[in-house]
Amino acid sequence: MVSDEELMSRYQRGDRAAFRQLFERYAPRLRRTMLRGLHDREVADDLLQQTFLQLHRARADYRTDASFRPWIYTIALNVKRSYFRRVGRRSEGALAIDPASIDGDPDELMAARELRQAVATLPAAQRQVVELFWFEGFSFPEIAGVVGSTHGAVKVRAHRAYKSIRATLERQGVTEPGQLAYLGRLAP
Amino acid sequence: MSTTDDHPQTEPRPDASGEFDDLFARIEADIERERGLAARLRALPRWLAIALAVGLILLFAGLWLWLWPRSDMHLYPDWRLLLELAALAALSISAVHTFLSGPRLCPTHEPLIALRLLGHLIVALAIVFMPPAHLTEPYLSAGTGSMLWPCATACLSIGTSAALPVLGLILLLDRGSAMQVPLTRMLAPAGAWLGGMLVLQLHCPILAHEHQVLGHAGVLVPVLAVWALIEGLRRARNESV
Repeated sequence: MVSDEELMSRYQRGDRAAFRQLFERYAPRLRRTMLRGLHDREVADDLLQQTFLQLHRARADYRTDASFRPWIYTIALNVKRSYFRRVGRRSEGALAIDPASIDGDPDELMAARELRQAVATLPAAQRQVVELFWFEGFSFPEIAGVVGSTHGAVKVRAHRAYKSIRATLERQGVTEPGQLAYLGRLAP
Repeated sequence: MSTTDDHPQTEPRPDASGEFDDLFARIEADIERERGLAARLRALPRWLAIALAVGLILLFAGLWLWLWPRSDMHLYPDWRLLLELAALAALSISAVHTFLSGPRLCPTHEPLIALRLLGHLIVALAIVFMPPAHLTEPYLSAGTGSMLWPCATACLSIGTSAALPVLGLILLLDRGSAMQVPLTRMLAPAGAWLGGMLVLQLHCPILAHEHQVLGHAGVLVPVLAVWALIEGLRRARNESV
């Protein structure tokens, strides 16, 4: 399979089919990203449209030796944040954990709800790392690329977020190991 | 607890259903509309966009230095003039550089940018309010009293005529607020304003503080007004789309 980076490189050279392939690879997952905290498919698709337009405008800036995924996510999350700012909402407060991904375990469902509330109380910089790690499936080095920081600094933010969320959950009485399963993945 | 750095990667989901066809058609239509000078400027690599904007600032400064240099150059201490010019040029260029740089997603940059904006303001005001570099007449009392407004207006016009083209170019090269943290947008007028002040520092020998405030630092007012107007129009257009 041709890599994203190779496809982007081809698009830089004017290959429209490569752009179509990148769109097909990333549109579904970016739509899910846009829908998180938005729940409006039309708006999500508008934001997706803006994301790919920005990708087109910024195509000359893409360095083919850099990973494509953090680059397009940086654009997409900026577009999303810009939308929330425009309509006067805080995207971070609207973070949601997809209940479908929790297999119906009541303990985990409850933990997900409480976790969402705990995440919403985090400072923006920590919340961003949590969002990218948990919800977008980025590794810490990739997150560093997205936020323009170092790997070490991102791990520090994740660790602080982990401690803060854990303290919040413990204050709320969420202490069962099963309920904290999600949180464990964040501990660097 | 897990100690891994590597997150399990999600496999891309192929678009077999064709449900994204309409969306792709809309994106292709957007891309088709990306024609003309403005679209070409927006699509320039960021290093080139930055070089163009910085080049324009330096071009204006160079032209004024070459054609109409300040007449008290021989009286002004070299080190101080160099320091003031270097501070204005560096801040102006760094504002333009940050404004036109590629996308970054980091809310922690926002306080830093607020600090930078404050720093720009403090440096510009420090230059304006520093004790006169020399105490020679007529430079010391020129542009005061009945000549305050005529001289200040002349400098305001010169500074604004240098700052607005810079602002215009920066905004043409800009790819929009979606690519930046919010406060970064303020760096566009800040960079243009400091570029205008740089030109005035090279040209105007009047040392009176009131003249410097009104005629030099005052360039910020028309620059901010034009920037706010353009931003408002841009926002209104974005919301209507």
